[in-house]
Amino acid sequence: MMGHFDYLAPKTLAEALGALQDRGSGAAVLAGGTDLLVQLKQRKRDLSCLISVGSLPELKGIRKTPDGMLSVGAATPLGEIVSAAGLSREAACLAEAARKVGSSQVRNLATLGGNLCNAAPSADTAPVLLVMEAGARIAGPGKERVVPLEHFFTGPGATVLQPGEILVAVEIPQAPAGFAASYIKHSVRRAMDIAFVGVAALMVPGADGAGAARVRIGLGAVSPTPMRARKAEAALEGQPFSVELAARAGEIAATECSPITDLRASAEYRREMVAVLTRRALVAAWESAQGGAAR
Amino acid sequence: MPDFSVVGRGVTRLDARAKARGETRYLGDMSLPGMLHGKILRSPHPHARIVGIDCRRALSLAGVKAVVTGRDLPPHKYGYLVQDELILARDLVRFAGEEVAAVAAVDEDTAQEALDLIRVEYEVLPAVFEMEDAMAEGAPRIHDVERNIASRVVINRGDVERGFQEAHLVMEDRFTTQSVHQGYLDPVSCITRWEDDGSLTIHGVTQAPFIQREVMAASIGLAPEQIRVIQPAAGGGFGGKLDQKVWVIAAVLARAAGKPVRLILSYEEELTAGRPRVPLVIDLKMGFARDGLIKAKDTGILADNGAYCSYGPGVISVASHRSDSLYRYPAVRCDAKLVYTNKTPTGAYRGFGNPQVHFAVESLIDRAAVELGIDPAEIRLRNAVQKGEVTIHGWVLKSCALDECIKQAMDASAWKEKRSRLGPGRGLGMACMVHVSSNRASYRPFDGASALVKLEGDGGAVLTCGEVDFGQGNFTAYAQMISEELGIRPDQVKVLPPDTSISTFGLGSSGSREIFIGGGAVRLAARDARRQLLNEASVLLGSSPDELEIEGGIVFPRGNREAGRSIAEVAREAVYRGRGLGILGRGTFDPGSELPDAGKYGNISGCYTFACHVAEVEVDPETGAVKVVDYVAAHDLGRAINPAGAEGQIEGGVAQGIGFTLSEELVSREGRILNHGLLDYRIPTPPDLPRIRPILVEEDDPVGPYGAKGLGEPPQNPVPAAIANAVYDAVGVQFRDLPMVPERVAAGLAGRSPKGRPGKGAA
Repeated sequence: MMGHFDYLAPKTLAEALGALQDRGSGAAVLAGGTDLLVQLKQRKRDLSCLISVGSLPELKGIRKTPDGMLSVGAATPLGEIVSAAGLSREAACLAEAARKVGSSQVRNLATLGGNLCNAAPSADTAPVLLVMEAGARIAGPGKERVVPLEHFFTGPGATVLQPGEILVAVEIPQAPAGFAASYIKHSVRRAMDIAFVGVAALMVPGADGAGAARVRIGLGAVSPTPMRARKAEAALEGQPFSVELAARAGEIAATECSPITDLRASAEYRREMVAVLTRRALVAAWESAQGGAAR
Repeated sequence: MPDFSVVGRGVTRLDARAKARGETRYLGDMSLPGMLHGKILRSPHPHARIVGIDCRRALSLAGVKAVVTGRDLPPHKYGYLVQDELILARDLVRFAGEEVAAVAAVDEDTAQEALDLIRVEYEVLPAVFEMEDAMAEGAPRIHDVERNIASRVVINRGDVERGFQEAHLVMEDRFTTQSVHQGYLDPVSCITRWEDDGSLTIHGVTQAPFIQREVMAASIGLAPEQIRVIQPAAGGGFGGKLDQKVWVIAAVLARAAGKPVRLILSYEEELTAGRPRVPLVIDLKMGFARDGLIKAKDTGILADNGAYCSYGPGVISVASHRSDSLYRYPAVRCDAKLVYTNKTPTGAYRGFGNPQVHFAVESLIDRAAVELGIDPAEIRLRNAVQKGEVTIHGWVLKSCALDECIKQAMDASAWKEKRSRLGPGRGLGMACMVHVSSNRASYRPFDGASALVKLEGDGGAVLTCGEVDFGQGNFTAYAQMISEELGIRPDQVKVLPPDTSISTFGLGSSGSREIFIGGGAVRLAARDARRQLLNEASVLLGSSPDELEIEGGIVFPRGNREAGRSIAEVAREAVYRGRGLGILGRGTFDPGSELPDAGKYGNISGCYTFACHVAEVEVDPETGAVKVVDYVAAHDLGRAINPAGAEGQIEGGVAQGIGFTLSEELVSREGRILNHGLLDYRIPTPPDLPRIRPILVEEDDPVGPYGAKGLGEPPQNPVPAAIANAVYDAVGVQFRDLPMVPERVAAGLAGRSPKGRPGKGAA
């Protein structure tokens, strides 16, 4: 059951931005609807207008730009992202995380932009996009801006999007040669579940091959927003890689996050899992990078 | 075993095609002309006095046709075993979610809006949520019973104290199980309509139409026969559709509005105010001889009834003693108490108390086996009951293939090669179970079934009976039985869902009775139809009935098929010659069970079923995640009427059991359910399930139709213990609290008490 609302299906981004401006605070952007419609049915939100962006050409599709960047339209369904894993190594990393959202039915509707704009701390695509240092391309009345994803989230359910703005695309820069990334989602069920903890790791092996020149760690569900674990990253960079060092980094990451106790897990358990899963994600990324180098 | 042509062969379910194509019409697809939509206003408080209810604003909302509160209704009580509920609360609410008022409106949105306009003034009362607190001196009294104890069952048989004295090993521990929902896809729902003659018609899914209308009738001042229950297609029940007060609410709404009313619970309502499984705290003590033979067992059970009884007293009766007929117990004692708390009332769920107790008993036996240095399979074989025995509670085992189940499960799981020999974090665990297939104590006047089989002019047959297929597939098995007896194809049989004004009396789907009891009646009705068919044909063919054969839809004198007449022809002729009555086979079946005495001694069921499950698990020692990687389930089912259907029953029961063991739990705080959606109430999805390998152990039962016994509830009973024992084998820690979610397992492995359950975590 939902209250009554207007449904608009603009044909262009400009039209959509105009409609959003006109309708003011009672309006919301509708993409796949897998979060928004549920919230409406549960009467957690009261809206007078939904503006569908699901078929705007400016928000659709995955493409590589001439400068090597991967641009993913915000209204691209996660299922399409899963299928596009072969496009580039960056695309494969995003696909690995996208595959862990909901079920295939959900992924056929749910979009990347929706997963990010819903801004759940547990959003599965966020940690991997953080480690790939993606940017959020945002269109507003008469202007566009790009915000690093790390600054996109401002709290649970909250983002930097201003009234009248729409997330247009996620831009993933070309990662350094030889990089590898991994994402581990920990939940009770293997599908249709929310992560207790999600950990993404990205590693770029150094020239000597013994350690990582660059390390990035992204954490989900353990702070008000998806976050980078920068101290843990620093502990690894330039050091010879070992499982012990990865474990040490995991311990550091566990101190960096600020999990809460809720219905799904206690803060203590989440923190312990950050340590364990960060180690595992780092080892997986490192092994993958070694395998990649050998190819 | 005798061979049959249709019985025992896997056939496609009669309803498979429509269900696979999404064409089945469930209640939510149905409507009646002028129909209104009902919604229920529920208490937000676990315990409160209703000071006043103001419905004026709701009544004045456009589109609202009726608002009903408890004060508008006569004070009849409602309840299956104990009449302790009102249709709508009048003065008191006893759980958060209790029905306080109901609205009928032109659509669901309007009805929902009207609920928001009803003002209820509550005076909040002190509430109790824990059983120990509820039984304490001076605790708030939820009903007018001493120490909030709603019901108590005491069993005492044999010399328990001597058994413990003589025992070489005495093991003792506390096990707890949680509340879980039945998880059907099709929520409780109905359409109610009052007829011109003052009678009431209800379209809705119930597992027991005739029983449901008896309970309803008493609560709204009608005779049962004035209520007509018509069953649409059903999307699951598992015990949860044995108690539907919602129907009564829809009926009073329809009466107040003068229009038919449809009422469908949301899943949030299902999870907050359904009738989930009764959670048990089980204090179990068992004594063993050096060779592993059980010497004595003493059990204390506290069962969380919630605010009203529903099936609670029946559940503790089962919990108190049913598992005792699995092994040769010389002495058992049990004291089971059902305790009122200000929480969601609990009730019937597949197994009816048996999965909870099997979890405790089968877990403790595994620990004893390890202590005694006996293989867990061997200790079970040494204690296993055998065919021909009478168990400690007087159950007569006319058939029993428990040994064979254990042996076949061992073979299939490579028990001897794998048990305690798998790598780190991997293990194998076993558990057995016993169950009934009918229950004389559940409806004392009758423990049988009846059926009518009508032959049609096209050579097909129509079955009517009071039995229910809520998805198990027993209607397809019935069609096979009729097909077997009459020599027609199963798809020529139409099985009508029950209609209490047309069908003969039946107890419906509970107690794993539909194949054994319902099928018994169907077979006899089909045989009666066959007898009539041969008599009719003998007149047409000029030969005596015993010289006739039926094959492929033709009745013919033995050896002379060409001279035969089709069943269709004979059936049509029979209609004319019988002045319209035609061929109408009648069957009634009673399994000869006995009503147990006050101490629960007596042969309660017509037969008993057994099983042995073996689970193989992988435990992540750091995260605590338990993954079931392989699962073998060997079931003594007498004979499978439809092996494909039987395997489906086993797979479904094991899947539900895995949810019960590893992920499902209704979590409440201060009496309010926190996880009231299917995201955080975690029913397993396909990737969470292992390969489930059913083994059908077939040894004919002398009473059941074609040798068949029940299989409805048994597959869930052993699952928690099989998995817990596998985890024990894998990591050396036995978990005694369900569910074994990762956080609890991780804490147990780290040697800490799991969160919120101080002092009773890992062994």
